[in-house]
Amino acid sequence: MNKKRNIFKDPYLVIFLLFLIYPFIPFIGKYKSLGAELLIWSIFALSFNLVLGYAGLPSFGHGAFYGVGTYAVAITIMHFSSKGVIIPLVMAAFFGGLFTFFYGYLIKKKRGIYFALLTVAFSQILYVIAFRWNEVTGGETGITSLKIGTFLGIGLKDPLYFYYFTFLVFVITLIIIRKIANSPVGKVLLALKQDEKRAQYLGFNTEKYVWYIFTVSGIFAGLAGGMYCLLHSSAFADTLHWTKSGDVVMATLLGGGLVNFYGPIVGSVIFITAREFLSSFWDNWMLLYGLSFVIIILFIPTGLLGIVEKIKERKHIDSFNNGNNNSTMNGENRPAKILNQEER
Amino acid sequence: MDLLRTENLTKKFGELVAVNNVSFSIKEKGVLSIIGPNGAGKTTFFNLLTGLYVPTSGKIYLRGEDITGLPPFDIVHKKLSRSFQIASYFPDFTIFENIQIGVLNRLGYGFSFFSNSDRLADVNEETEKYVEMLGLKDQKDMKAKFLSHGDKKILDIAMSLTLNPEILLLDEPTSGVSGTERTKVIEFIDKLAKDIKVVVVEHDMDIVFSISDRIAVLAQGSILADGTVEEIRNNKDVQRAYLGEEEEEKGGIKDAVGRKNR
Repeated sequence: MNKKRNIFKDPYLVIFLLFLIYPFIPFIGKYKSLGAELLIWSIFALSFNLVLGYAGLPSFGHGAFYGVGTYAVAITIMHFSSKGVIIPLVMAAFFGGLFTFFYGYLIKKKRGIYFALLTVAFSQILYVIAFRWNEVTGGETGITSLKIGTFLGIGLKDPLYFYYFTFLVFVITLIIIRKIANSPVGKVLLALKQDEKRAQYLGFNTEKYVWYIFTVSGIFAGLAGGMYCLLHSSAFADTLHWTKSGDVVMATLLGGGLVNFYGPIVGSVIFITAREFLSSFWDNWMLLYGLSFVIIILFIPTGLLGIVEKIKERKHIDSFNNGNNNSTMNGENRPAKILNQEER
Repeated sequence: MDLLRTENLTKKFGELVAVNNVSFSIKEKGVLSIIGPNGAGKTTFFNLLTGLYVPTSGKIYLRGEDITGLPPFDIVHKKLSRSFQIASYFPDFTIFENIQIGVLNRLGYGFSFFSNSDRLADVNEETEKYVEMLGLKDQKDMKAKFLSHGDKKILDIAMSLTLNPEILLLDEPTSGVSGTERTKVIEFIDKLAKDIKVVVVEHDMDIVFSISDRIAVLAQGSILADGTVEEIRNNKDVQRAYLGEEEEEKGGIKDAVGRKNR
C-alpha cells in the first residue's frame, strides 16, 4: 500500500523502466526512431514546463530555442567537429542557454500577454533569419545529410543504439530538471506563479528567478533540438516556426504540466504517437487531435494528470474532514465541509 | 535612533496627492496604530514604506539608512516586513510550505538549485517553530486555501515574520474577520508586539484603542494628529475628520465611528 502510493506520488521509476524496455515492447517497439522522438519531445516539454508549469509564464515561442539547438548541432558538425556527438550537443545546450540568457534578461519584467507575445515575436525573428540566411543555415533547404559522429566510439546509425543514447540524455535531463523542481528554486517558482507580490515581500527578487529559469529551460530546449538534429541528420527553419512552439504548449497542457511534473512527458507521448499513427490514416489528423485537445481542456483544464491531482485533493480534503489528521480515507466521494469552500 | 523615519514623504498619482509631505518617526517596540477615514492614504503610506511605490518626493530612513526607492525584496531583508489588507498567501501550498518558503530565504537557500527543499533539517526545524506559534500544528499539511478567513490572516502575518522583522506593518489585520476569530488575531498581534515594533492600520476603533500604545491619524494624506490613546480620543481635529462638523459635539469618536460602521 505504502509503496504503491509512492509510485503514485512520483512515478519516475515507472517512466524509467517503460522507456528502458520500449524497444522490446511488441508492435510499438519496432518503431525505434519514434521512441527516440518521444524522448526528445519529452526533454523539450520538460524544459518548457519549468517556465510554464513552474514559473507560470506563457512562453509561446519556445520552439525558437529548440531550433537554435538543431542549427547549433548542424553547424558544428558541418564546420567544426564531426567525430563525436558530445561537442555538437554541448554547443546546442550552450547556444540554447545563451539566447535565453540574453532574451530572458530583456523580458524578465514582462508578464501575461506581453510575455507571451514577446516570446512569439522573438521566435519569428529567429525563424526569418534561419529561413533567409542561406550561407549559414542553408535557407529554405536547411542543412541536410549530416554525418553523425559516434558516442564513446559507438556508432549511432543503428536505431537501437541511437534510441539508447537518447534514453541516456533523457535520463540525465530528467534527473537534473526533477532536482531543480524539488529544490528551493522550484518552490520559489511555484510561489511566484501563485502570487508574485507575496513572493517579493518574502524577499525574493522574482525577476531574477524568471530570468534564471528561462535560461535553464533554454539550455535543455537547445539540447532537445540538438538531439532532434542528430535523429534526422538535418536542420530546418521549420522547427523555429511559432506553430512548433504551439505544439509544445499543447502537449504540455494536455498532459497536465500545469499541475504535475510528469504532465509534459504524458502529453508528449500522446502528441507524438497521435501524429505518427493518425497521420498515416488521415492527412487531416490535426483536426482530431485539435478536437480532443479542446474537449479535454474544456472538461479538465489542468490536463490529463490534472485528474490525478484532483483525486489527490479529494483525499487531502477527506483526510482533514474525517478527524483531524493522519486518518486514513474511506475512498468515498462524500461532499465535504471544506470542499464547499473550495467550490465557492 | 528612530527605527523608521520619513522626511517630507509625498506620493502623487497624477493630480491626486495620496500622501502629502509626511514627516514621521517610529520608535522602538509596542503597537502604533495608523487610523484615518477611507482614502486618507494609509495603505499608500505602507506601500511607500515597503517599496511597492517609489515616492514622488521625500525620503525614508530605516535605522538611519536611506531606503528610498529600494524594491520590496531588498527592504524586507532589512527587517521591515508587512502583511496585506486582503490576506496574501500561496493558496496551493500547504501551511507548512507557506512558512517554509520565507525560512528558506532567510537561511540562505533562495538560489539553491540542487538541494531538496523538503530535506533541509535546519529549514524544517525553523518552519515547525512558526507552525507551532501559529497554533496550526495539526493542520500543517493542509492546503492554505482551505483555512478559515481568520487563520488566513494569521498565516499572512506569520509568513511576514519568517524573515525575523524588527518592524512589522499590518494592513487591516482584522478586516473581514468575524467574532471569535477576531479575538484570535488580536491576541496574536498582542503577543508579537512584546518583541517587535508593530504598526497597524485598522478601522475598528475598539481594537485600535485596546491594542495601541500610540496612535497616528492620517487625513487627506497628511498627519492630522499623533499621540497616546487618550490624546487621540479627545482630539477635536480627529473628531472633525471622522464625523464632519455638525456631529463634533456628540462626544468621543469611539461611539461615532461605531455608528458609522453599522
